[in-house]
Amino acid sequence: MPLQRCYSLVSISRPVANLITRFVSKSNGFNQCLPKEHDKSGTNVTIFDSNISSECTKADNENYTWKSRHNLNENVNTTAPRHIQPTITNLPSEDFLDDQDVTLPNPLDTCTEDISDIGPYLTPTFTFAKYANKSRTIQELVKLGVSLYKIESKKGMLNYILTLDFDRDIKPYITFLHDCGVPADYLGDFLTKNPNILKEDMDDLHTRIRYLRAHEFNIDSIKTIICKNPKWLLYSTKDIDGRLGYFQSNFKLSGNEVRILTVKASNVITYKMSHLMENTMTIKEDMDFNEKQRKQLLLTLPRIWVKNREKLFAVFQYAHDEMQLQHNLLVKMPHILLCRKTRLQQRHSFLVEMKKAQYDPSKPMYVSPKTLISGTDAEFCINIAKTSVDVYNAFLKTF
Amino acid sequence: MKTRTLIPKIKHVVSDARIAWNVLNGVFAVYKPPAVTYLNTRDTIIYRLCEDLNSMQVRPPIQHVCIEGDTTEKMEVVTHPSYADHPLVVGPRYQLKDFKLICANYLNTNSSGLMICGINDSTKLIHKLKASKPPSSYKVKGILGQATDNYFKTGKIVERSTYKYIKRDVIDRMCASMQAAHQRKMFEVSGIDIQSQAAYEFAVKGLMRPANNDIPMVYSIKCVDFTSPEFTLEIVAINENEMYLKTLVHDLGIQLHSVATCTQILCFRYALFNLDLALLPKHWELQNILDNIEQCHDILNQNRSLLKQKNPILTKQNN
Repeated sequence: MPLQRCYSLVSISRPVANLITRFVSKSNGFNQCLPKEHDKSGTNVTIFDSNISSECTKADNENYTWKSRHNLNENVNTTAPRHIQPTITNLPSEDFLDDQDVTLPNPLDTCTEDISDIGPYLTPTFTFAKYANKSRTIQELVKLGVSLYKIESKKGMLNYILTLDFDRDIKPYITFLHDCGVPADYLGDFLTKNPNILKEDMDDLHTRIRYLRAHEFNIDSIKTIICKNPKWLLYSTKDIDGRLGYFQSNFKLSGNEVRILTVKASNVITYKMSHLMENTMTIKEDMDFNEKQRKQLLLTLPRIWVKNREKLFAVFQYAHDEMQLQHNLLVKMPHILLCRKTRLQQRHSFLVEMKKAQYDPSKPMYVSPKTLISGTDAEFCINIAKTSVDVYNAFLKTF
Repeated sequence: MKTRTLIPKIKHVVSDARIAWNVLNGVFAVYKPPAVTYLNTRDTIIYRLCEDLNSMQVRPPIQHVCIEGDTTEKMEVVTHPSYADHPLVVGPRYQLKDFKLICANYLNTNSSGLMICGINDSTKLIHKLKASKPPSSYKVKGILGQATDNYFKTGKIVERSTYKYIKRDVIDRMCASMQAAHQRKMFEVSGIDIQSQAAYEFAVKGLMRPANNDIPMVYSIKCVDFTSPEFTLEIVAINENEMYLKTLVHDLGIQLHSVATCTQILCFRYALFNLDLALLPKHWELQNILDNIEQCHDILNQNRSLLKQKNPILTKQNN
């Protein structure tokens, strides 16, 4: 507070300025207490104050700066008090006078009361570390294993978490999650991924669980859904219902199949809807899978719907056009669609070089596309290419 | 040089991350895959190093001293591990922004191959290496008969033409004439008056480095492989960039009365560093990088001239 600092500096020399600044420091700045028409004087005085404080800092050993300060003080005599004097009379009298009968302790007096609960103000911060040793909430969250440094980058989250009380605001949610079946050692990860759950209404959360129970999900599958996708509980029942309805009607799934899909890939269900629809479009129109194949793809490997559309199509094109894999083979082993294109390209072209690229199951020396992409490079070399890894590594450097 | 392609996974001998961090200074060689940007490569390397360092034994949190109790009585001084220094609160001990990593030969998105990088304090060495302007060698593949809008295979094909009549010897002749034209340019770039005695004396000695950093200077173009319509050129150059090499292939196509597109640009040598040295993306780990730093520093120590060139003449060196 620059004004308070001024008070102590100015009070040594000029009693009038003393009066003003005491008044200022008592009532949190000019603008609050001065009437509107005195705005101008208020700004005048503040400008002068900042001047003084800057003068005083270098005034210790130079005489001429002392002089200039005196000049400025005279300025105050002429301008500032004239405006402020009437405002002082306007104030409620007891509010102004009560500090006269309070005897302030001197600096060297012995303190007789317990002041351990007094501390500095809580100032704004951009990291949890500042209050980590003071706030019990943060310490408990750390003990749970919540990665607070990840949360603090989310907008508004820092302020929100710091205002929470662990027993009052967080404990009910932890008991709720525990009742849902989230294991204790996973709670930290859960809250890291989804700190927003603390903002949700408890009744809403119970309703969302009840919705799942009403649709005949058993307790184990609810546990898997929530653990796999911590954000599931943020979606309203209406939203979830619409999404499940989308999958059921678009892929002609039976009730049980919807349940299997939800348990298997709860994060696909709550993924961005426009992305899901775009991928459905690509798989239907660009890749030309028929309805039955699409359903099979969705049930065996739902993650295809999450993959970036362009990359998915590029891999499909490579597998279909370059490697000559037919649709029915791809549906049987859709894992190849989730593989990175570079990895597929490297391994396929190596097999072509070795003359071992033979993906037709009816012919001898058949290489299954699934084993082609799974496993490390060493496993690939030993099991499929039947060479040493050195040769393969040297080949990789020619790309 | 012995090939060290198969790098066995060694358990960390040093378990303290602080020691590992201190020795993580040096020049190393990585293989940059095509279709990945330089910054992506850099981020991946740093990310992997961070992961490895954080998985090792890291610094424990500092002690927090607090004075507790009633102020009127005797107070207690308690120390406990500070929560303000807990990895969950302040983040992992080694973070992406802690690392400095730059490369000596910048490879654009479409190029691949050897990239010499310096980490932390050794970025100074990289600046020296760059200033000494060592030549880099490229294998540039091209295809005859088609031209694209960005001179590379990723672009849209804008023109097709016949190429059956083009034979190997024509390409060789064209390469030789392009090389001769570039070498004539060498004297202009070197900054000496071509009519002077000094220019004559340099010309007697052989090839020269360019004086400034901007003008690409090609020293040799050779066709090493030709199976119509594909051909492979070996180019040695200083101050080159990806676009220059692509245009070179394009120009070659036009001079052959056809069109050509570049399909691959692979940097296989930079200064005395070889592609054998380069670490593949799957090997970008702390242990491998530390081993690689050792190998690269052997080369740098044996050839001090790599870091400080006194002679403008390009000399042949075998290691």
